[in-house]
Formats: sequence, structure tokens, C-alpha cells
Amino acid sequence: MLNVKRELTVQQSQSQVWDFVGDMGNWARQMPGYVSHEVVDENDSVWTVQFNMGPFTRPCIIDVHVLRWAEPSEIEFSIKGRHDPFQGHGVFNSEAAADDGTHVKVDFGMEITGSMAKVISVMAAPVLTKLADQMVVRMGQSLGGPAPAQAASGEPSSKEAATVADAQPAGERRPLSKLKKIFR
Amino acid sequence: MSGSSHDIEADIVVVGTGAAGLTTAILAHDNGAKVVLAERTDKVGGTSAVSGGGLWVPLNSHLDEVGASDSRDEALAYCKALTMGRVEDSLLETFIDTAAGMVAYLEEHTPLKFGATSAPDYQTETVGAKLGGRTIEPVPFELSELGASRERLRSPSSLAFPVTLQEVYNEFQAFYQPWKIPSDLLVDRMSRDVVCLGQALVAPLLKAVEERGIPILLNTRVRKLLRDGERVVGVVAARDGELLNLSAKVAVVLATGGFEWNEALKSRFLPYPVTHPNSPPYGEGDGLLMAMEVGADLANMAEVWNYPSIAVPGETYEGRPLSRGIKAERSGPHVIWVNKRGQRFVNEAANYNSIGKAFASPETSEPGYRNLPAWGVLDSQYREKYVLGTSMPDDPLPAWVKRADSLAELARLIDVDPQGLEETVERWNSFCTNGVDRDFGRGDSAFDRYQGDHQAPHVNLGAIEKAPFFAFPIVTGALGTKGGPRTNDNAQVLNVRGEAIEGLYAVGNVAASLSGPSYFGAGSTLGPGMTWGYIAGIHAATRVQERNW
Repeated sequence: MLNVKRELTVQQSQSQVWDFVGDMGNWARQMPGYVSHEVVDENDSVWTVQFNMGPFTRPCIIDVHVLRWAEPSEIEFSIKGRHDPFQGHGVFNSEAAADDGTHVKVDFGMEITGSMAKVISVMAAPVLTKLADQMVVRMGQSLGGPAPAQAASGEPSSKEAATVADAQPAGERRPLSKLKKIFR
Repeated sequence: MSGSSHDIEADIVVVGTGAAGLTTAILAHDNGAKVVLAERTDKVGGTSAVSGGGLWVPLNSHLDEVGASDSRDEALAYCKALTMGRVEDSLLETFIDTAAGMVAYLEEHTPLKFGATSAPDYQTETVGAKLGGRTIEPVPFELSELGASRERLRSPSSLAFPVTLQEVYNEFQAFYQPWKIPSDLLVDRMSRDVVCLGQALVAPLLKAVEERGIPILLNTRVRKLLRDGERVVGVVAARDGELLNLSAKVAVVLATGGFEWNEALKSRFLPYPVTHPNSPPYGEGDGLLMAMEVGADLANMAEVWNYPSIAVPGETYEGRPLSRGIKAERSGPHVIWVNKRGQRFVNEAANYNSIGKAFASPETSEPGYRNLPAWGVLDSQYREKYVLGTSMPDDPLPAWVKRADSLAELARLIDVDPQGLEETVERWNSFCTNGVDRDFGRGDSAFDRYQGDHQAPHVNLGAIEKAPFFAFPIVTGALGTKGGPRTNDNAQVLNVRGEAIEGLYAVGNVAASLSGPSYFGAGSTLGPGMTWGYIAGIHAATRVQERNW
């Protein structure tokens, strides 16, 4: 299982954040490589994304299902590759922060399935990390930008990067750093 | 383009940084020449870096590692038979007499090291053919040895695993079942930044070039040859929006690859539409056009290194469609290829170059190609056992694969004649029962059987009988073109009178291939290409010495 955790504090209020994430299209558009999305019903949508890995790009159709809407703070969801061997689960959480801002947390885990899972997971780890980094930046921008303190420190923080690295088995940390270069 | 110019002087300018160009540069340097390499892109390696990395080299010093032997007479007989009188004997003899020496030199003087493979020649029943040993491949290479230059190395065109051809085909028998390659081996190699195949060929050559201090001008696209009278004395290149004159006191060596990405040249010369080249999208015939401009004679222009391929819609490499040569999906049981009539048209297990020629077969009563479009048709027995493109049996079915519960329904999905497909499959299944393909002889040759599933009851034949049935589109891929300026056995470009154009050499896919219409065995692009680079480097450098005396 590949895990990423990201946190950021944005300038918009919690209710504004909820209004934003309550539209699944708004999530989809934050995805790097976003091509299109289709809302199936209030809990399901289909995203088409073009993953970019260095000189190589590959399209991917993702079925996204919301397991739980807990207004105003939490959304639990799952994803599944329609034609590719992966699935994932995530939780979006928000809480009110100082100056009418909102502290947002996203905790996401993805599993590569199938007979080549172990190897593909090593290759996928840096891609997932990059996607998470870019997505959190985009989401922050869509929610009024990072709160002043965070904007000054930059993002993602080193703590967040460490979280990703720690999700890797010890023997797989070096490929992560190597592959980050490849997919940069 | 600002039009401003800057000059760089060298004895020899090598245009292109594939394995042939790098080999030329190394040999020219080692024989006393001042060399400059010019590369159109921001990466070193060209098509070589995304290739399988194998070299077809008769009489190589690794034959005994796989219990093989060879002789000059056998190699020459084989090459002459395959080229069918369309290539001068002197070129074949020069290649056979030089290739092993080229390998030995590089192994002794550069970090590049090779290992043997058991891959048979591609026409195993032809006189002089060998069942293994003539194809060698680079041993795995740790990119950490390149240091910062690692960033200059071209990436593979898809997510290639760090595994050698010999491991895939022989050690792990993973040709049909990639999951048989131990994950721990792959993860360990990735952790150590180890590459195989084409990158393992180019990376040590790049290291050798850098160790020699040979400059590589990246993002430098050479567009024109400079001449003094009839003699080529340099090139004009575009770099960062400026013109650059590269003066060559002695020679310009074209190593620019083929023209498989140039639509105009393809339509002018190729006998069928090659829509999906497997190479990086920079083989646009730059070298060919420059050679034509100075009066080079051309040969072999209608030939390509055919490689029928699978293209996953939407996948790209450097912004252009990516394709993958079809491997398991043609040689093993439970899969056939059909045209729009639902008829088979080729021995699917034959070598990919020969198969590709079937796409040039014309319709006789209407415009068009008899075997385009083409489809691979398989049943659930195949799907449950073997890799299909990038999809493993337990993966979700890719969108580019059609699925149906009957052959007739499948035929309608892919716009193929249903009755034709049903009749073809019935006939195919009868062949499988009897163990003999009476139409195309699939499985008759040692090459076919080598590529088959060695665990199956018949390595190449298996009935298509168990629903659901599947079909995937076959696209006309190619490793590159193989026509271009004629060269002599010094790798010098010839004019239409058969005379050498002074100061101009051509090596690799830019030149007319000495394999003519054929494909000797795995590595037939790189083996001759690097041998010609070796010859060009030495010959041109000798001219430097002559000038200095």
C-alpha cells in the first residue's frame, strides 16, 4: 500500500471549503493531468486523467465513489482504475482554523493489484507523491490560497515529504529517490 | 532563428548520439582525431537507448558462453542468402570480418561489456544459420557510474524493467509471463539504479565519450552540409535559436537515424503506411536529406525494420504516439492474426520484420492493402495465461481490447467478416488438433519454437475455442527505416557514380542497411550500425593523420 498524507491551511472558511469539495468535479479538476470527468450520481463520478511520467504519458480512467459525506468536515472515498490494476481509499478532513481559515487534511492510500504489483508499486510511488504534491498546491490555490503563515514557509512541508518516504519499505527508499528524478 | 553564427572546429563532426554515432566518436578519438558530437535533442542515445540493446555479431567472442560456434563461411552464406543479391558481397564480408573486432575493442577500451544470448538467428532453416550465440547484449549497468551525466541519458519509451533479454527468454522463461521475473531482482536493480537493454548499451558508451573529453552539443540540430567544391567540410546547425557552423577538417559522419517520423518521406518511399514507429520521434530524415542534397546515391529505400505493434490509445512518448512491438501476442498458442476478411495472412510466429512485409500486400481489385487493418484474435485460454500488451491476466481488461461471447459477435465489433473469421478459426483449430499449420507453417521453424510457450503442449499452436473471445488492433510499427545513402566498406557515402563523396560518412539507420530486405537476427540494426561506426571512426581518423604528416 502506498500512502500519502497532506495538510494545508487555506484562507477560505470551512463552509466555503465544504461547498467546494461538495462538487466532485472540483476535486477532479485539481488532479494533475485532468482531462475530463463525468458525474454519474451524487456519490459516483468517472475521471479521465493523463498521467505524465517524464517523457511518457498514459491515459487512465478512474471510478471515484464517495463512501460517506459528513458535512461540514469529512468525506471518505474510494477509487478504482477501470482498466488498470489499482485501487485506493482516502479521507478528506477539514476543521476551522484561525482568522476564519480552514485546516485541510487528506489521507490517501493506494494499492497496486495483480501479478506485477510489487514492481509497479515501486514505479508508482514517486508518481503518487508528485500527484499529491501538485494536487494539494492546486487545491490550496482554489480555496483562496494558503494561509499567510503557511505561504511564508512554502509547501509541501518537509514533514509531509517524510510521511511519504516512511510509507515505503526500507529497501525501497532508494528507488523512490531515483524514480523521482526520472519522473520529474 | 536570429541568423547569427558561431564556429566550432574539429577534425570530425559526428551527427547523432545513438550507439553508432557514439562508437564512431570513440574510435575517431582513439585514433587521434579531435571529435565533436552534435545531438538534435536534449538527450543522448537516440533509438539505441529505447531499443532492446542487442547486437547481431557473427564470430563474436561470447559464443562459447552459450555453447555456440560460428565460422566466417557460415556467416557469409547466411547473410548472402538473406539479402537475396541486393547487397554487395564486399559490404557483407567487411561486416563479418570487422564486427567481432568492434565488440572486442569496445569491451577492452570502454566500460561497455557484453554477455551472450541464446537467441537464434531469424531464419533458422537457411544455410549458415545458427540456433544461438550470434546475438550479444550489454550486461546490466549501474547509472551511478555516469554521475551527473545520468540526466543526459535518454529514457526508455515505456517503463522498461531492468532485466536482460537472456533472463527473459531463457533464465526465467518470462516471455509470456513477465511475473515470472523475480520481483526482488527487479526491485533490487531499481534500488541500485541498474539499467538493462538499450540504456545499458548507451550509458557505458556515453561514459567512454565523456572520459575522453569529447564534447557533446545537445539541442543542436544539423540541417545542412558545408562543402568546399565536392568535399564536405562541415555542417550548419541550429542551436538555441542561433546558427552554428561546425567545421570538420576531415569528415562529417551522419548518424542521425532513419526517416520513420517524416510523413512526406515515408509516403514517397515506403510500400505501405508505417503509422507507429517505435523509435523516439526525431527520426525525420535529417541525414538522408543532407546526403541527397550533396548527390548521394540511395539504396534500400522501400525497406523498414518492421515491427508490428500494439498502441495503447492516448499513450505518448515525447508527445507522439507510443507503440510497443508485439511479442507474446503472435507466437504462442490460442492467438491468430486476421485481416478484414477474417482470414489469417502470415505465420504470426515468424520474425517481426518478415511479418510486417505482409502489410504491403495490395488489394488487387480495389485501392488499399489486403491485410490492413489487422487484428489479433485470441480466446480466454490465452487471456488467462499470458500477457496481453501491458495487461496481465488478472488485470482489468484494457479498453483497447474488444471482448465478445462468440466469434461472430467479436467479428462485428471489429468490422471483420463474421463468416470468414468463423471459418478461419475452425480451420486453425483443426491445425492445432493435428499439430501442423498447413497454411503458413507456424511452428515449423526453430525460430518459431524458440519464441513459443515452452510450457504449452504445442509451443506455437493452440485452439481458439473457449469463450469469451478477444481482439486487439495491430498497428504498423517499425524500429526505423533502413534505406538511405549507399556506403562503401569504409562507411563513406557514395555518389551515383559509385565514388566516395570526400568527407562524408554514414552509419546506422541513416545509411542503406547492409541487411537489405532482411533481418539476420536480434540486433541486426545495432550490430552493423556500430560496426560501420567503428569503421568510419578509424577511417576518418586515418585521414587526419595523413593531413598532419
